[in-house]
Amino acid sequence: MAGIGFELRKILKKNKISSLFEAYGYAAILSAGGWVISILAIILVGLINISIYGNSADIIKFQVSVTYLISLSLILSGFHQLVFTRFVADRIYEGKEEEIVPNFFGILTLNTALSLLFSIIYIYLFLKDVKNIYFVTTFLFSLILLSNLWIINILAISVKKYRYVVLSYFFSYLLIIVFSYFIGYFGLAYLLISFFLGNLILFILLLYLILKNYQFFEVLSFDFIKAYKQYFPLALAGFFFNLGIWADEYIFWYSPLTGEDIIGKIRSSVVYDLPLFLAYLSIIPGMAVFFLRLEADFAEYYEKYFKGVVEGATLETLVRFKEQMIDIVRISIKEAIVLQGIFNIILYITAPLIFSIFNLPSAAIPLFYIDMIATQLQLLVMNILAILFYLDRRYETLIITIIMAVFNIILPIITIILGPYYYGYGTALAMLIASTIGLIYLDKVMRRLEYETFMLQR
Amino acid sequence: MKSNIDILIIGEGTYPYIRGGVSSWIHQLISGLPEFKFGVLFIGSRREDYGEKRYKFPDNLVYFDEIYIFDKEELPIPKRRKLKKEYYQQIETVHKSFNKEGNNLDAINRLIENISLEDFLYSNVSWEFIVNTYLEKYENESFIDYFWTIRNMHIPLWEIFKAINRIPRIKIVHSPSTGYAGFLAGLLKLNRNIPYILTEHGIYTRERKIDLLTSDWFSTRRRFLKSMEESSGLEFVWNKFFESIGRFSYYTADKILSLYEKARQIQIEYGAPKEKTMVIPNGVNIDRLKSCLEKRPSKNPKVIGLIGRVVPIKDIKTFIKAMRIVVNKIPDAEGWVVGPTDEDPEYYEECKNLVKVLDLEKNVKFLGFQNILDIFPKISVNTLTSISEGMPLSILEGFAAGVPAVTTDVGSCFDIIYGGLNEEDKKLGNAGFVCKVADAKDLAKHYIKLLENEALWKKCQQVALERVNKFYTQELFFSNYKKLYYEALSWQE
Repeated sequence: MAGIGFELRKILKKNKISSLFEAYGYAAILSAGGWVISILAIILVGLINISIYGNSADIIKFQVSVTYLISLSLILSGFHQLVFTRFVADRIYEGKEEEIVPNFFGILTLNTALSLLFSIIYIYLFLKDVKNIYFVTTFLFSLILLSNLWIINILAISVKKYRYVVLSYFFSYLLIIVFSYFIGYFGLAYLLISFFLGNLILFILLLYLILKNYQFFEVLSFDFIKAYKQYFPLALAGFFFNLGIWADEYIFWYSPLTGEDIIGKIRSSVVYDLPLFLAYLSIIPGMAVFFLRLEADFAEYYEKYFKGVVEGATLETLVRFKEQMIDIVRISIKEAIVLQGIFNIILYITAPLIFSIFNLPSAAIPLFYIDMIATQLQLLVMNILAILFYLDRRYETLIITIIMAVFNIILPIITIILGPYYYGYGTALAMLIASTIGLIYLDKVMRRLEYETFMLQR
Repeated sequence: MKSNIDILIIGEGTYPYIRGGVSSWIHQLISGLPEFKFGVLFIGSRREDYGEKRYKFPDNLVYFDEIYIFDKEELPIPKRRKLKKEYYQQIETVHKSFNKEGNNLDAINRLIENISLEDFLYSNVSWEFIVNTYLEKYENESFIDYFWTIRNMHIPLWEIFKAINRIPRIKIVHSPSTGYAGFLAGLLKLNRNIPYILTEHGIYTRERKIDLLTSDWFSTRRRFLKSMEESSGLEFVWNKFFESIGRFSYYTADKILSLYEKARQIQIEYGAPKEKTMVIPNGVNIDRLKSCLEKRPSKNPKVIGLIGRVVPIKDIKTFIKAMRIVVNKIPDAEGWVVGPTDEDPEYYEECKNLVKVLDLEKNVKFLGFQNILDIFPKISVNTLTSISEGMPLSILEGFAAGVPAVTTDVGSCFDIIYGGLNEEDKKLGNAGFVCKVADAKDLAKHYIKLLENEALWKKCQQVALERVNKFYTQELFFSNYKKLYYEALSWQE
């Protein structure tokens, strides 16, 4: 996401408190991405509808289906996300921007075909017995739409019109709330249709932005497939990353001890889900801080370093730039910890109040606490991955995501066996392992940076 | 065909693909010594830098092979490599031994066996060594330039190492230069325990220095190694490198030959053990040139001839300026430039412009490539205004054709014109004059002297003929090498 840093720095240079908030605001939204906003939106939809109509059964079904839609679409499009990001960055770097749009349509075609196939199989396996044809059809289209939305989001951010992107998100999710307010009354299928329509509008808004900003001479191209060869580890890393994030949830949903059927064979876990989602929302400030540091400061020294290499700086100068990069990483982790620490203390104190607002059993509060730690460690993993991705460390990225996925499957299973007191510890430990290994890699990569920059060339 | 190779000649960027002094020397040597069977190994930068073979192989050239040391696309795929720390010591030992007198031969061989090209390119130990050397000596230089300079100069060594096993059985190895060719010859000597003869035409180390300092002057002439110059801003590192492998050649060679006395002195200065050094000058085919003498008109034509390519290193412009001064005194004097003009078209244009500006269009002519047998009878002074030369054959050929010479003080010119081989040679007297480099006035003064003073001219002609017949005949050249080769062969048995 080269270029974001520059824009954010520009905003920061205005040197006003408001501009600081503006920068962090953008950073939060751009970094947290669609899925946190989606979670926020469905929680709001739930609150509004329950308070107005009191129809909580459908609302729960709606929330669960949306959770599935988001997680499945993320895992499904995980293969494309990082590779396509690189592909776009490479074309921009080469000055061949006209190749972006045709390949974007190419990837949409491929992704639509794959997610259509997946959705049909998925529906056959899990929603065969659901009679509500509107619901099933909307589910199918929503899955395809969302998995394409994550891809268009990458391209939309690359245009650098952040205000437009952010406003599009707000506008579309506001529409979902409004739609659900008017037609949600008719039941589950209509709630989901509201969700689908909102996202469709978002997709169209982002598409408009892209077509307006990128020149193109052909409509369809499949050149991007070459990028999959080149960046194959990244394709896998994207998949494992999303799998790793959602694995524990699926474990809890499908465990007979912790999950229950909601719609067809779609299941959820009341005890596990909401504390975790709330914990996710708690890391948004940390995400924003880190994102800003990475895109603004880290990127600056990274550029300086590579410019120095190419333009013939002395080794001493290069090492100095590298050390500044390392300092930024250190500072950003420290800042995230301090900020999250303050935020966590507040959440810790106010947790009982929040739980009563959301009508949650206070027994889930300890789980919420451990989930807060788990999500923060996950934030650390994400940050490490972002830096490694920046430095184009494909294999390290892949290994960390595999570790994260594998442990976030095994350890939650163990905690289920151990009993309710251990819930949440599995995912926390998985993230601890992944982040520790990530830090070790990061340390190694940084230490070997000059060696690899120079020696591993030909 | 590969069996029974007596002498392997290793040519770096010369025979049989590039015409020039060293190449004709190799061709002459092989053709003139039919009793020996020769092999030639050509070392080139990249295959595409060379065209067709320029020479028809003599029958006794029984083996030919070529290696290219800058074919970059063949580099192995980058991959992290970890080597044991002890290799660092090994590398250090070898490097130190190159920087001192005498080499640690065991260490070199061990290093070649242990360290692959991949190790050199990608290993941690190699990186550490590069960084430490950089920090020690060049820490204020651009690191990327230093790094690639080190890489570029070392990469060819592995092609050289590979060649050792490829070369069939030979009895003697003979290299016409130090540099990579001399390095390979030295390794062959060590590995097979065979005699190594080194004949230096120019002084490689010194030429490389000029080369690097005036790289755009030379780049058209010496296409070889050009790709390296382009990537380097660190001339000093290159010089040190070539000095080091040059010393290795001096250390391993059994005989270190040069073409003239001054070159021998420079070799000694650069570290060649005195007792190994020896001068064997080039020789010319006297019989072939005799006819020129007979064809000379009774009255000397007022023509000064410069036989050479129209390129900056020959400093044709100074010749043109000198001609202006000559024509002021002798209006009908002419200056002929005999040699190809297509090698550096831009320089040729500049020369032609200079002729126009100096209003010499009637006096200075560019004749292109000509048969020298037709030219020598028509000129009275054979000149050479180069800023650098080895042993210019055209001057000796001119002598054999009865033409005295006026040259700049480069290469062996002083020896040839004033006599420098021994006392007897000196006593013969002068066969012309040697002037300062780039000094048009000095040159013109001596041109005029020879054109106007018939007696002086006659005297110089006499000396020229005597000297070339006594010291610079092809027969002498062949018999010198024949003797040397037989000696080397006997030493082996």
